[in-house]
Amino acid sequence: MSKPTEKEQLYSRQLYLWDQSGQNKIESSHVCLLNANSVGTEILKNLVLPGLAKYTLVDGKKVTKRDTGNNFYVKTSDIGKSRAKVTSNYLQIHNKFVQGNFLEKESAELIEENIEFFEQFDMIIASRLPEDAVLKLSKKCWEKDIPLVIVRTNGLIGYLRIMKKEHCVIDRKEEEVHEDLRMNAPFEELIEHCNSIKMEELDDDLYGHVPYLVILVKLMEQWKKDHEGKPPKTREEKKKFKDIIYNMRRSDEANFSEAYLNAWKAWNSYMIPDNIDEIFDDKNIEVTKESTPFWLVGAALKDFVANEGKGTLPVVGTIPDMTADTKSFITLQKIYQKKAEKDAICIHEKVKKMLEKFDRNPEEVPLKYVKFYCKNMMQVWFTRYPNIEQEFDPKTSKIKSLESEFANESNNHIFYLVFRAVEAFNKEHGYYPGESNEKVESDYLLLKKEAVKICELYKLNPEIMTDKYLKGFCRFGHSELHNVSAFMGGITAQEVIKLITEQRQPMSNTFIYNGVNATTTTFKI
Amino acid sequence: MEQNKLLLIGVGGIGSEIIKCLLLSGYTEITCVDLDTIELSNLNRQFLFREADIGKSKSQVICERSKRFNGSAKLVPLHCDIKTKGPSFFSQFSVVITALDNVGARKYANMMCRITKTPMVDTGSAGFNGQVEVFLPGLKCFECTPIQPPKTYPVCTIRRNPEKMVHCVVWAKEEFKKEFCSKTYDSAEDEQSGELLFLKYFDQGIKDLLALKDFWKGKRKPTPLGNSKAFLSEKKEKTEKGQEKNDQPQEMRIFEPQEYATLFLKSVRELAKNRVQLRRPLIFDKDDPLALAFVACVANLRAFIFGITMQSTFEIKGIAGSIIPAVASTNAIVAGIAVKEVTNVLGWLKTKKDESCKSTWVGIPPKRILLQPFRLENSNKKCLVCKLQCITLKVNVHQILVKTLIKEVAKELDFESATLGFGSNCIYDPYDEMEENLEKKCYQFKIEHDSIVELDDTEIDFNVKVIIVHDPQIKEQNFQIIFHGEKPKPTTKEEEEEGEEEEEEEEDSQSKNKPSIVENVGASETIEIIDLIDESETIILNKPNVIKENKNLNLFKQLPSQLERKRNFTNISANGEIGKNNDKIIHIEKDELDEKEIKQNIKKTRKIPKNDKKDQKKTEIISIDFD
Repeated sequence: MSKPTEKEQLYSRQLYLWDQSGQNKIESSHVCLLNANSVGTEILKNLVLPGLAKYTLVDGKKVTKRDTGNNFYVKTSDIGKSRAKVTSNYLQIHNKFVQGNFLEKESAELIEENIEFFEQFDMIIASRLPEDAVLKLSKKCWEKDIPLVIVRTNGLIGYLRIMKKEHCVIDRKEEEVHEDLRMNAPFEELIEHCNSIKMEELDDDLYGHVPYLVILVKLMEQWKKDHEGKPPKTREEKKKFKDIIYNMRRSDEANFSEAYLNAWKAWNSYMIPDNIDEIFDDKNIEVTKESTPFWLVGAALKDFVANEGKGTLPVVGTIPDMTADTKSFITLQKIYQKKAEKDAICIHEKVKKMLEKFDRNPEEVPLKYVKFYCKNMMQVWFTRYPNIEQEFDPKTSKIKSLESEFANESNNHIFYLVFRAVEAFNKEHGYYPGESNEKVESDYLLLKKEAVKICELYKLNPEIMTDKYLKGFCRFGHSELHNVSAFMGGITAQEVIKLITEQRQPMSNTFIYNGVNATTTTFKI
Repeated sequence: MEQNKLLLIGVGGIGSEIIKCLLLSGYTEITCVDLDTIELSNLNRQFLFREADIGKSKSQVICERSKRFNGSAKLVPLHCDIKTKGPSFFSQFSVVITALDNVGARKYANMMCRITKTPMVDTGSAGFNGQVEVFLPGLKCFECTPIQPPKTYPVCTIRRNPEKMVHCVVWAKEEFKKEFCSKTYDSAEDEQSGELLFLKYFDQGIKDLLALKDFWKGKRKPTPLGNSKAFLSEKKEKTEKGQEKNDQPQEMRIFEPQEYATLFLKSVRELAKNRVQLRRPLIFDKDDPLALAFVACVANLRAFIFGITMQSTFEIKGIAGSIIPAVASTNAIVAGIAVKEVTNVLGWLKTKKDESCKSTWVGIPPKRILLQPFRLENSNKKCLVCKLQCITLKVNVHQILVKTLIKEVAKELDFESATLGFGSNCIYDPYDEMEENLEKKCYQFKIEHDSIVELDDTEIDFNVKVIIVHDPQIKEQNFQIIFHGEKPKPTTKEEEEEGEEEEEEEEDSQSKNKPSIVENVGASETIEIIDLIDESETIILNKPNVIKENKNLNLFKQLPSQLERKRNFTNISANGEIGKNNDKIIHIEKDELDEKEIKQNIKKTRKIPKNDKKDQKKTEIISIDFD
């Protein structure tokens, strides 16, 4: 009956989305933002509000008149002052629980001079950072396994790229999760329980309240006995099986209708779900001294399937509502729960042994984690984001394989190449195309040159870089429009939150926003 | 941009973002309306507010704060209910932007926009999902797609046979109202009341239900708890849940039923004490820890009795208070799109070309497409708001008689005889004995400047809204009628039928476009396209024996179960409609198809947007009141 704490009240609306475990992760993250420009500050705002532990803002620029037109966190009276200091001070007001730091230093210089500085962060967001600096920073991030988020905006177009060696999610917050009822692969305790129920001895009331799950398991056991251990396979056999259910009814009992409708669950062969299959097939399943808890449990699961499970995974342990009397439902529920508990302990023991083998603390992976993993088995998931170096290097890049997508005008892949060309232009000339109005025309020709070079580098047909896009970007002149920043700020913060909370499925790996026609495209490079 | 006056209704989560985007996009004249004051739970996303602002008017604070970022901007705060503003108020603005949290206010703004022919940009968000809709005069309006009424639950489910936690919460709130919100308290009951209620709710009440023997045939029966002493002395079995969540804050934890029983008795005692002290009935407020504790305990114990999984107080608070989750990032996305649409709408005002204006749905990737833009649709011929006809009447409300108003307007519009209504009141009806009202003056019925009264023809379907413009210069019974374009006229029978026919045709052509038709490809191959719950995709199944009947989509029985497993198939109902809570869920059987074959035959195509999806989003998430 105690009143919720200040934090609970402040964060109540978002706790419904990512619960306390997600909130705890947000509240223990230190995020670095490079460049306090319009989109950068918008991203940070959307992270300060939900309650980040700490941020460090790096920016060496002074506030200009241009900033006052697109950046919410500067005022006209701030012109000439340090942009890092000014924006950080305003951002800080949003949430007293967040510790804000800033560093008045040009991001690219900092990367050049003191790359070790970045080792302290849980996540780095690079906002409109020149390509060379991004590449250098990405190498450090890759080496230290720090997630890097790269954001660019230019006029009405936005770009977002996530780089993280490996991202594992146990709680994917799927709306629909498959049930794990085991009628097709009943475990001993379940069979025992079903055998103990003598259907023919039950009075009509109880007969009508035997859970359909029990009916099907019983029938299947009987069927297998009569058919050399095989479940019904052909259409005729299946019909026969269903007829048996139909004929067992004494009147029009609901539990038998359920059994009839769900009969397929009993004869379908048991299969390991795709997401687990992927984990089993991955190279990381060969655990080593360095393996993370995610993979240790994965390996234990695989071992379980091969041995104790006889081809099946641990039982998830929850059953849906069904027609039944309270006593038999709860008994059944407990059988599943107990088995799930037993399986989880078995997995935990396996993990402990692995840890011992590697001379690690056997309690490093707590039983709680294993149980959580087993409970969410139907939705555990992982992905890997390729590193930037690999993306840029023509020998390893996948860019060529996307050629038809680049040429397709109905999607937005092409803007990836245009952004690359614009960055190459900046590297070559020291400014961005169209930044000064007088040079829009001549810049276009120079940009075209860079675009052709990019195409040559990746062996693409240079004609895909149509003038329309190149001219468009020259007209944008590397400008920041506030509502594009607001939009990209929202998207980026949302992805960052997914990465930090390790909930839901973050996008992979490149995202383009086209503000001209309000469309978005996500693709892998 | 600077010449256009904008109206922003609602300055909460999305509203804060919108005003920031508008100012930084160069808009300078914005009127902000909001009737709310600032609360602590707003501050995780409504970034223009600070802790020190709690309790102050949202519109006033937001205008003050925003001015600092653009000193020359003209920002007008209005701390009021939008429903107090009439057509002349709305007609000052080029575009109306709504960032509201309820359907009622949206409906009102929509009607005013229709009457004044003002474009409206409507926004909304729930968790990670959101939408921006553009309503241009002449095209689809907010009410063209029927709005789903707030969700209600059958009384029988609530009282006798709850199936989900929400049913238990509704019941608990009802009991709270019955017990604490109506009668004044008799302090003599004090000692006993907790135990009496415990017996009533969890023992005798359940036993009474069990006495209805026929009702429980085929259903799982509840178990009465007995008296509280007996229940509390029962051996406590630690459930898995209770152990697992122990490091969570108290509000997030799930306790043992016995603990809820103890807390229940305590909360009844405290509530009773409070009421004696306050000397008035209580009201349910989700933010009152005591009221919430009562509801959480009652709901959880009831859930326990009926074998429903118990939930944390935090979750129950969400259900009881119809709390919609909200976060800054989604609001930023929605606002970014909305402001772009405002610019597009201003373009439309000049060119009258609506191609660039789009309505957009925002979803959470990667399961859904992040942005789904739509071309604007035509208005629904059956939409009452789009059909409404109105005129303006310039009068002196202090002098004109009701009689004159009815007579003269009726004459001008060729009414046979008319009834006059204002708001929810009927002022005159020739079939009722209301003659004395005729001799009264309009202002006596609170008809004033910017009021809208309604005239209904008593014989035919003809309804006209009359906007009153009060002019003190006008003497006595004089008046001036101003038509908005054409003179209003009744819809003739032919027109009505025509409308219906067209509608049918439309439906026909729509159903042709719907992906339920079967096309022949090759000699024996047939293609069937099925909409899936997974919104972003449509699956094409290419398999002859899969299809039995077309059209009615009864063929689901024949679909392979592999698909079910792969693609979350479980929610396709018998009639082919897709919904989360459909009663008739058909599971798909594997039928002599091996998996490889199926895999080969699955092709993905882009999703065809469905209208009914939108409706679901438009409605308020849950409202759980009986009345």
